[in-house]
This record gives sequence, C-alpha cells and structure tokens, in this order.
Amino acid sequence: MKTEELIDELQRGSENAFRYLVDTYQSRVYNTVLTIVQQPDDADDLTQEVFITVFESIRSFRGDAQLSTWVYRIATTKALDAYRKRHARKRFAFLTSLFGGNDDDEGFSDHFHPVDFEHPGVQMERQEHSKILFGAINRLSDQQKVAFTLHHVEGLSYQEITEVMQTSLPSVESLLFRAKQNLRKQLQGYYQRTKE
Amino acid sequence: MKADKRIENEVEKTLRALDGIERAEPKPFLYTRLKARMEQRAESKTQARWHLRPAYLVASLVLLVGLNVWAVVQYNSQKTNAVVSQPTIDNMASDYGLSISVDIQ
Repeated sequence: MKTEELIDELQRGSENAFRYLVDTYQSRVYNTVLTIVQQPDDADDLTQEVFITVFESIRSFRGDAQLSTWVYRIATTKALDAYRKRHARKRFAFLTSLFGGNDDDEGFSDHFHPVDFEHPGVQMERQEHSKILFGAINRLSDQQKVAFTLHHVEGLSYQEITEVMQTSLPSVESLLFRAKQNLRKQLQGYYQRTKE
Repeated sequence: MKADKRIENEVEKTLRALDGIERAEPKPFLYTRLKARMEQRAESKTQARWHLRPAYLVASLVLLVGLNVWAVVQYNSQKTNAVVSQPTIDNMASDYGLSISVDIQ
C-alpha cells in the first residue's frame, strides 16, 4: 500500500489500514521506545499508546512530514515523558525512604540508571558491553538520547533525524558528536572505578 | 600505562557494542491487545459521558430551575412571616422587662 493511500484510508477510519500501519511500524516503534525506557513491559504499553495517538490524531496529519517521521516523533515524545515520570516517582520514593541518603549522581551504577538492560537485538558476544553502554545512554540528555537512539539503534540517517526532531542538520551532528563524547567520558569513568 | 590502554580498549569495545544490532520485536498479538484496549477505552468513555445525553441535561436543567423557584418562594414567605412576628417579639420583651426605655428629662 502506498503511503498517501494509507494516510487517506486511515483518515477515513479504515480498520484494515490501521492494522496495516500497526503491522508495518510496530517493531520500529517498540524498538525506539524500548531503548529509551529500557523496560520491556513499559515499552509494550507505550507502543500501544503511540498507535492510539496515531489513530486519534491522524485527521490532523497534513502530510507536511513523512508518516514514519511523524510516528517516530510521537514515539520518542511519549517514551521520554514516560521515562521522566517513572524517574520522578523513583527519585521521590528514594528521598522519602532514605531521607538524606547518599544520592550519588556521579555514580554510574546507581538506583536510577541500573546497568542491567539487555536489548534482545544485540549480538550475544556484545551483550555484556551493551548493558554498560545502555546504562551510559540513560544518563545522556533527552535530546542526545533521542538522536543517539534513532541513529545507532534505529539506523536513521542524519536527515531523517532532523525531520523527527524538527531541527537542523548541524544541530543533529552536534548532538551526536556530544553524545559520543559524553558516553566516552562516562565509560572511562566507569572502567576506572571498576578497576579500583 | 598498560592499565590505561586496557581501559581505552574496553571503552572502544563498549562503544561498538551496538554494531549489527537488530530491531527488538514486541510481544506477539500486539494488534489484538491494542484493539482490546481501544474498545475498552471507548466503552469507558461512553459510560463516563451518560450524563451528557440531552435527556439528562434537560432533566437536570428543569430540576435546577425548579429548585431556584422553590428557594425564592420560600424566601419570600419567610420574609412575610418575619414582619408579622415582629410585634410578638416586642410584646415578649416588655413582658420580661427587657425593653429599653430612655427617659429624657
């Protein structure tokens, strides 16, 4: 089915078109939100929420962006919101239970950024290293995290990322450059600490 | 020196950990679960909006106007009673010697 045709059918409320959309985009959406929230159950839940939002707001979609770009934008926004909410709750619970406790934000393997997320698509022999990398990705700023995820996990080009994030090409390049720099710095710190 | 090189080596290996990554797939039957959720949501929306049906809206409006009319009528009749009962209170006050009389000489 052509994209224009699909959008047209979706705007008319066709169930077949919606099913086709879900079948076509479900792994892209799930993979993106999973990398951001790093919780398979939350990611499954969020994937459904993304498609509900797509279904409810498809009428307002004017075709000024590609359908895939628009879906990625909804997915990343929802995933970041969910991640922030979950962490705000955790942070609050932590403060109430351990008032005045040692909340070491500089620490790498702490309560908020555990290094135990296993992405099922990572090659077996790289799984251990990827856990550490995902822990570090978690600590990037929202924008860097999204750019890094879309490029390195979803395989989107810089140009596609500019459309999803509604920003310029130099901004995306800078985001990815800084993301890599920050990751490197964090990982050096992590391996220094584990060596001691 | 050797340790630093080992750390750099580990960092590089970690940064390359996502090379060749494949997409993660959601649990099976996502569409079925999604449809069930949407139907459930639509159902709870209609349940939540029963009070917005025209019949319920008109009935609540009539009830509201009725209550207001009743309140006004009650208020007016109480006002009349208060005027009527005024002398009775004065009589009672003088009976018990509670009336205030001011003698000006």
